[in-house]
Amino acid sequence: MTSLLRVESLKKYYPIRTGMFSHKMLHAIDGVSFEIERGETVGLVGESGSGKSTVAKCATMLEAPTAGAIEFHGSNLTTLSFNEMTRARSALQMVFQDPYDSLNPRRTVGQTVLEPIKIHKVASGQVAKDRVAELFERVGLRPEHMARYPHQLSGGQQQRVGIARALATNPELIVLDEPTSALDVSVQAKLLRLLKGLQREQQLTYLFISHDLSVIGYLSDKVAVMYLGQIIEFGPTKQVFSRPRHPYTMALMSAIPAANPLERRERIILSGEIPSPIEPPNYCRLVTRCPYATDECRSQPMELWEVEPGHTVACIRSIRGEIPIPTFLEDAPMVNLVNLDTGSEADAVADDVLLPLDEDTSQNE
Amino acid sequence: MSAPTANTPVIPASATDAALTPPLRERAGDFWFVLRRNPTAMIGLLMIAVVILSAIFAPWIAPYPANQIDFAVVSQPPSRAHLFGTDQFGQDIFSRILFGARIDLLIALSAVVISLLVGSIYGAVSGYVGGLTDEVAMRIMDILQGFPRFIFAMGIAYALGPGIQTVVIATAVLNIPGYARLMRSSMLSAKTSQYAMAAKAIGANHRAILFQHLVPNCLIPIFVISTMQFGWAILEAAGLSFIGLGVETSRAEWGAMIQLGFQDFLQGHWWMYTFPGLAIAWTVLGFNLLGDGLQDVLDPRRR
Repeated sequence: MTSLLRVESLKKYYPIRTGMFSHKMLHAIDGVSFEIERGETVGLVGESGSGKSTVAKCATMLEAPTAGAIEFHGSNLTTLSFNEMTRARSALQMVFQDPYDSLNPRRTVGQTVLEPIKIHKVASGQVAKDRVAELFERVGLRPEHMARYPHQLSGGQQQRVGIARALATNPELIVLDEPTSALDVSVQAKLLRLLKGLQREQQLTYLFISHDLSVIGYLSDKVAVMYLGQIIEFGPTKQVFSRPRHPYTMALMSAIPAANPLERRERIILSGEIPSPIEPPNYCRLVTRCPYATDECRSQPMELWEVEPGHTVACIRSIRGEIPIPTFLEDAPMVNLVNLDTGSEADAVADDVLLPLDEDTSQNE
Repeated sequence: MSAPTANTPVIPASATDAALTPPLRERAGDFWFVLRRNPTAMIGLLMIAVVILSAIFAPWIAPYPANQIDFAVVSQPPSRAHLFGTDQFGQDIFSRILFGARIDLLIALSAVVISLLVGSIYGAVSGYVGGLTDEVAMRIMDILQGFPRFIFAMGIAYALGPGIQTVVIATAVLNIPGYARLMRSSMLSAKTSQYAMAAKAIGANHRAILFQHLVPNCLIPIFVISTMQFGWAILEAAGLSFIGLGVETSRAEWGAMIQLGFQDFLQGHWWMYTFPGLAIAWTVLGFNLLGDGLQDVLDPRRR
């Protein structure tokens, strides 16, 4: 089976000025490779500064990568001309992190959703307007919301508009860059349920970026763990979550609070400094914090090895079985969300979306 | 308010009825509602309204035509017949001030519109493109701003020769760097916003991103500044006329009137220059107050 998106040794360096004429390179992402197959969700998890968002921006060519290839539908996006890229964008959409900042404050949200329809000539005139209304309904908003400005909507509603905009051109792949991190937990759960529903209805493929393991666990089929600009573990979500192989992933998993108070869990705590992303070492970047690090770890460049089919890990000691593998309950990280995941989509519409229409116009003065 | 519950029946508006934009009347109404509660802006608006109305209705309000020379009433102090007195040619100063509002407002309006358009497009492109282009573009503005303002205006006016166009061009050129810088700095912060990136993600081209998404979001400080610039433009135009490089003294223009009146300074004919001066002060103050008020009204953080 061919993959829908294939990212091959993607690199993005930013120059940092160190003096009048000298600069160093900040390695935001440093050799990231992964594949996404049609219809699946790949989660990208990592702490702040690990390069998750940079991967999102490069994968959608919002920023040109320094090196590497992005193959989407079999064509390498990095070599496309501006017009070819514009055409490709109708199948490759993105939802942004900050729902308010991602909407033009001087435009009504209806105009915002209409724009991609016009650019890609999906429809025109009344048909285009009807399509906007239909998109609004699909994401749980009402057509009356179309004439609102972003500041007249709640955070959850704003992000629904962001999703509607991404859906407007019938894309195949949507890159979701922490779409729920700015929202509170109950709204978050509703949006995740919406995303899951949309994926089922429209056979969408997601690249879902989050620092929140429970969100990733709820939504993704596969998960890639990033640390300092590199993927250090990649595999099916269940395997990575229940039997992590990389010491960093282990530490991440052990940090999730257990829902069952009787469950005893060993915390794996990382100490020490994170190395600077400015001209980092080419060996394993966790050595300064890893409890299992040896001199050998510093002696060879980092690479990913396959430990199980489809499960790769970038730890030489782990693949030789020198590191004890902790086991976590398979659904442990998902518990937080599963509890919220009750009720039907109809409730979500009722309490999230139906802010009184006539009231909130007076609030913004 | 009644809190909506899950049971509240949702009345689905038909998709075709729902509009993409609220009616213009509603948006204008919102703006007026906020503006009305801002005393500074309202006083400024009122003062400007007086000037604009006298400019429009000058032929009906003014007791004499603007250029009626009458040697029977030369250099008369204020009286019932001549409210603000007369000048060396027996022209009624009150009437000339009313007619002068036309020329002065026209000069200020043209100067502000020219410098606003040129300056903000220049600054917007410079900020959006960035890099070396931006660097070079801004150094050019530095050169323009390097000269003392008024000396620079005098230079332009001297090169072009006296006349209304001269005043407009000199005043406009003087103000271009201000708009360019303001627009550029707004642009620098706007272009890193997620809505700019979102516009790129949906496939908008550079022109659409710049002029449809970014520029409209950078206009508020520009509007506030241009209101105040309006006042300054009148002051600068009058200044040029006063030193004889602007509008000819035969025309009813406030700066030119002051210049004419000032020739009789030693004779103690104070009314000749005081009243046109007060007209300038009144107008400049009005625009500054409106600008100050608008800043509060248009910036949601300062409401």
